Amino acid sequence: MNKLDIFKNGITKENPILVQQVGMCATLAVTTSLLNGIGMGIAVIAVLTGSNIVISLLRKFIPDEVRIPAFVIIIAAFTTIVDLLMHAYTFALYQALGVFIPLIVVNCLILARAEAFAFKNGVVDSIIDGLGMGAGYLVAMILLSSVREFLGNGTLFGINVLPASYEPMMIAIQPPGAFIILGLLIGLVNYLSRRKKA
Amino acid sequence: MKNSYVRLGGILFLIAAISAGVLAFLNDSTKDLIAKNEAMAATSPEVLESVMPGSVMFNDYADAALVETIKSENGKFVNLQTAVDASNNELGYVVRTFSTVAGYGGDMELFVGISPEGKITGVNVVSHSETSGLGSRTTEPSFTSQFAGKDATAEITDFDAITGATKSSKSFLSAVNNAISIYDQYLK
Repeated sequence: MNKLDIFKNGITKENPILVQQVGMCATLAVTTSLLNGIGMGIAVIAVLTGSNIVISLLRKFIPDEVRIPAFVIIIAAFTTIVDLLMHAYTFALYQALGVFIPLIVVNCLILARAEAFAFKNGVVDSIIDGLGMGAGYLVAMILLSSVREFLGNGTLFGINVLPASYEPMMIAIQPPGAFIILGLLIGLVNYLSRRKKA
Repeated sequence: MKNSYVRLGGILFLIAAISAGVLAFLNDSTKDLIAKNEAMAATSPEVLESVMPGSVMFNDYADAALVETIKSENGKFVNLQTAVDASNNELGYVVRTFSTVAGYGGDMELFVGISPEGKITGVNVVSHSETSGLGSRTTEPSFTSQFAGKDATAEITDFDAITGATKSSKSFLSAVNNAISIYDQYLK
């Protein structure tokens, strides 16, 4: 697999949300507005790429039998590092994204990539995999959160894009709406990708 | 066999110890900066203006004994301060309090500004854990501004709650009412 394929793989064929469907809890919870979706997407790219690097570097040192607890420790440490650094040095950004950072620990996408890719591949490939998977995650988050904010609030980035007479579809930004819209999105993606193949 | 357990445990221990060491060091070197950031954000000019228009600073209330008394008698009360303008004139009281009715994600923490005449001058959310996009809309001026100008002599009962976020709105209101009851009991 060449480097471009590794990158594209995360966006299309193995898109973490639309195809693999991992890390759903955070995805469904934070996509109530476009800004939230983008924030979470960027935070995931940072931690995923970072943890992929560290785990790929340590892959010869970590024994197979204890790899999962080792991954968890490394991912948790990495998340905390990002959290502390942002809190101290980029406070404005932290105020916007801060609530999402601790959620990344429970995002199984990161653990899944550590297990499936970084533990078996070199550092450069792992970086590309982290960026590609992260980009795929970000794209899906943008799709889901923009649809939800548009329908549920009549806004995008908090700015009104629909006339005031529009009655917001409340369910779109409530938890059940997240499942429904995600299901429709996945259906749409499946339909398009099958048509392309045929 | 036994040796391999020791080896595995040892490696895991090493990873955990190094991680803990890095985090401890980082926590120590950033905690002052973080505390400073938090303190500055809590009383940024925008917050001051929204709680008490015209104020440039919140000073500690002169009667420290009274603050202690309120603290011991009102569990949700956090602090009482005096808002002053640029020429150090006192503009009114600023009560910092938690809500008495929990919202969706626990208590909300508010600044409530009250003028010496007993009118609410403004309200600002210090911290909350409400759902982003729903309950978090209680922090927006379109919601908070309805309390400015209301009488602080009696509990507020009628207000416009946010559609779909009634619980957060009620939690917010309970904090405002707690500030009102503190004003009525100790400051009026």
